[in-house]
Amino acid sequence: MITVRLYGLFRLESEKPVYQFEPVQDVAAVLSLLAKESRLGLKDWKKAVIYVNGTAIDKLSMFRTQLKDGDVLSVLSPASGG
Amino acid sequence: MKGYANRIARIDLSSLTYEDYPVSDQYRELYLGGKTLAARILYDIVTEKIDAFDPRNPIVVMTSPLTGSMAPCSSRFDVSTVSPLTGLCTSSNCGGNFGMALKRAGFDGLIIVGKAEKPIYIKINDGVIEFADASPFWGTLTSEAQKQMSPKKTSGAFVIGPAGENLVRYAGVVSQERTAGRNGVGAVFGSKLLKGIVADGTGKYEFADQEGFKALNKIWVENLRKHPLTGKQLPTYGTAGLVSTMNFKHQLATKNYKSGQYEDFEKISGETLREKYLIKNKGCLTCPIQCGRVVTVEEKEVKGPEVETLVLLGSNLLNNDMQKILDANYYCDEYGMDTITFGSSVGFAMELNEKGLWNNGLRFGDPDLDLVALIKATAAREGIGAELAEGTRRMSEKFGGKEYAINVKGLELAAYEPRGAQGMGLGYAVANRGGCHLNGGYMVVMEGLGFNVDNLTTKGKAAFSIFFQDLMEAISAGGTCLFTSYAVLPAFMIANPNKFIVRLIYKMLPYFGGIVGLAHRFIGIADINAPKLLPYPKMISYATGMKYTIGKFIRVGERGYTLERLLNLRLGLNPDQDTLPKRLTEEKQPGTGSVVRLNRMKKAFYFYRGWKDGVPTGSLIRRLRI
Repeated sequence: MITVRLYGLFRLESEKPVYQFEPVQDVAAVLSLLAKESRLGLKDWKKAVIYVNGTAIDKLSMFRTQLKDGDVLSVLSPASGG
Repeated sequence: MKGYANRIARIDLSSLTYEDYPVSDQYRELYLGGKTLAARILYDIVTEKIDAFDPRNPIVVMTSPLTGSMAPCSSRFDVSTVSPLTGLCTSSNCGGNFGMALKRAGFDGLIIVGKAEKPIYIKINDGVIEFADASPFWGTLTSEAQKQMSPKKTSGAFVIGPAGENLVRYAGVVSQERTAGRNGVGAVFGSKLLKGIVADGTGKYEFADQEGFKALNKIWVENLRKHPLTGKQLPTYGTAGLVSTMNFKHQLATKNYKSGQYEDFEKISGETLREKYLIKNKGCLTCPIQCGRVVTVEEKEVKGPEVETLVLLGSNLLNNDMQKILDANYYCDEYGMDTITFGSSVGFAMELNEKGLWNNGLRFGDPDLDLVALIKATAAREGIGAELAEGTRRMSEKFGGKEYAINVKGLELAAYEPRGAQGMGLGYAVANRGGCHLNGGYMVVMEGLGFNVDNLTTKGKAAFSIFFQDLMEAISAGGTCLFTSYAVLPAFMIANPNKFIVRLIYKMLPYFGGIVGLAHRFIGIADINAPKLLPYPKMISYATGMKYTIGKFIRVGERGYTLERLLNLRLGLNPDQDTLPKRLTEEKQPGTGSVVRLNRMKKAFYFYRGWKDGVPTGSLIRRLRI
C-alpha cells in the first residue's frame, strides 16, 4: 500500500488526514488518485509540498518520483509565522 | 508631528517624580519609534556598563507612529532595557492594548529609572502620571493584577506576575494575554518594585493625510486577506501550523536540540491543536490575520500556544501531551515568564540529569512530568526552580554542559533547530538580542517556512539575513506586527512551489546573495515607493507627514541594528560572543549530517554590514547619521 498523510490546508480541505492506495508507479499517479477521491482537483494537489519517505520530491524526480509498496507520501501546504 | 503624541516622560521611581524627556523631530525622522527610538534613548542615557538590576538601568516603553492608527496589526509596542539574561541591550515587543492606551493617554513613551521603596504601579491618565500602592496585589497573577489595576474597559495595563517580582531572569510583562516575553524585561520591572503600568485617556490620533492613509490602508488589508499565508494559512492554523513543516525540514528543536525531528510531532502540531483543542481564533487589536488560538485550560477559555511554546515545551522535552503544553503555556503567562527560555532551561536540566551532572529528577519523555509545578517553583525560585530561574547559561556555569546549553549571549534559541536552517543559525549567532529568531533575521522563512531556498546551503545567507534584519527592525520601529511582512513574499511563489520557474528562482536566489550584500554595503536601497508591495513607508508618510521611501525606511532598520550593536559594545559585548553552542557547530545533526557552518557566513555578514571584526566602522556610523 501507498500511504498519503496530509498536513496543513490540504488536510483541512480534503477532510481526511490519511489516504491509502494500492501501489502505483509514481507521485503523479497518487495525485490523480487523490483528485478522484477528494473534493480537490489535480491542479490543487500539484501545488502541494510533497515528501516521499521524508525526502522532498524536489530532491528526487518531482512528480515522476517512482514509488513502491510501503512508501509514505507526506503532503503539506506552505506555512509561515513564528 | 502628526502620528505621535509628541511627549515622552522620564519617570524616577526613587523620588516618585516625572518630567518631560525631550525628543526632537530629527530623532523621530531617523529612528521612527518602538525599539529603534528606544535604542537611541538607551544609547544616550546608558553611558557605561550597567547591571540589569541596577536602579539606574532604564526601562524604555515605546510606541511607534502607526500605533493606534488602525493600520493592520498596529497595536504593537516595545519595551527595551538592559537584559538580566544577556547583560546587553534588549527589546521585547507586545501586541496587547497597553500601547494604544498609552498613546491615547498622551504619551509616545516612558523612560523609567530608579527603584521604588515599596511595590507600586504607575497610573497615567490624559497626560497626568500618578503613583499608587501595589502592595495589596504584589504576588497576584497577571490576569488578576490587570483586573485590579485596570478595571475600566478603555484602559490598558502592562503588568508582571510573580516571576518578575522574584527576578526570574526571563520574566515577561503582560498586556491582556500578550506578553513582552523575551530576555527578562519583567525581572527589571520587579527589580524596581514596579508591578505595572496602567494607561487611559481620550487623546485622538491625528493624521497628516487621513484620506491617503485610509485608501492605502484598505488596499493593505485586502492584500493581507488574499495572501495565502496571512489570509489563509495563519488564520487557519496560527503559528502552530509550522510544526509539521519544521519537522520535515529538520528544523524542529527536539531533545534539547539534539535533533531536528520528533517522532511524535503530529501530537503537538497545529493540525492537532485545531482539530482537538481549538475553540476559536483571536488576534491583537486591529489585526486582520487573527493568528491567536483560544483553547480550554481548567474549564477557562484562554490564549493557546504559539509554535515556540509547542516546540520548547513539547518536542524539546520529548513531551507529546498537548494538554500539558496548553496548561503550561497558560501558567507561564499567568506567572509572567517566557515559555521559550523556560522550556529550554527544563530541556537543558533534563540533559544535565541524564549525563549525571545535576541530579534533579527531570527526564526527557517522562509521562509524569509536571510542568505546572515546575513553573510555580521557578516563579517562586523554590527547589530546582531556583536554578531553572537563572536560564541555561548560568546553569551551565554551575553544573557544566556549556556545549549543549542552547543560548547565544545568554538568550536561549527559539524553536528552529539551526542545523536544518543555516541562515537561521547565522542569525541566532549575530543577533544583538542574543539567540533570537526575529532579531536574527528569521531566515528560516526563506529556508522552508514560506519560501523554499535550500536550507542546508550557506550561500547567500549572510546578505539575505541582513536584508531581513533591517526590514524587520524597520517594521517594528514603524509599529506593526512582523507577520504583515509575509504578504511581501510573492503569493504566486508561495502557492506554486512545484512550478519550474518557482523552483528555478529558489535555486538561483542564493547566487544573488553576493549582489544583494554588495548593494547593501556600497549602494543601499533606492529612495522609491511601491506601496502595494511594501506599504509601510507610504503609510508612515500619510500618518506623520514625513516623506518616507523604501530606502529611507530600510535605513531606519539598519541604523537601529547598528546602534544596538554599538550599545552592546558599550555594555561589554565581545564580538567573539557571535557564536553558537558547540552542539550546533560540531555535532552532526541526525538525518542530515549537517552542522551550522558559521565562520564563513559570519565573515560575509560582517563585511556586508560594514562591521570590522564585529564592530561598526566610523564611516558606517557617519553614513547612518548615528
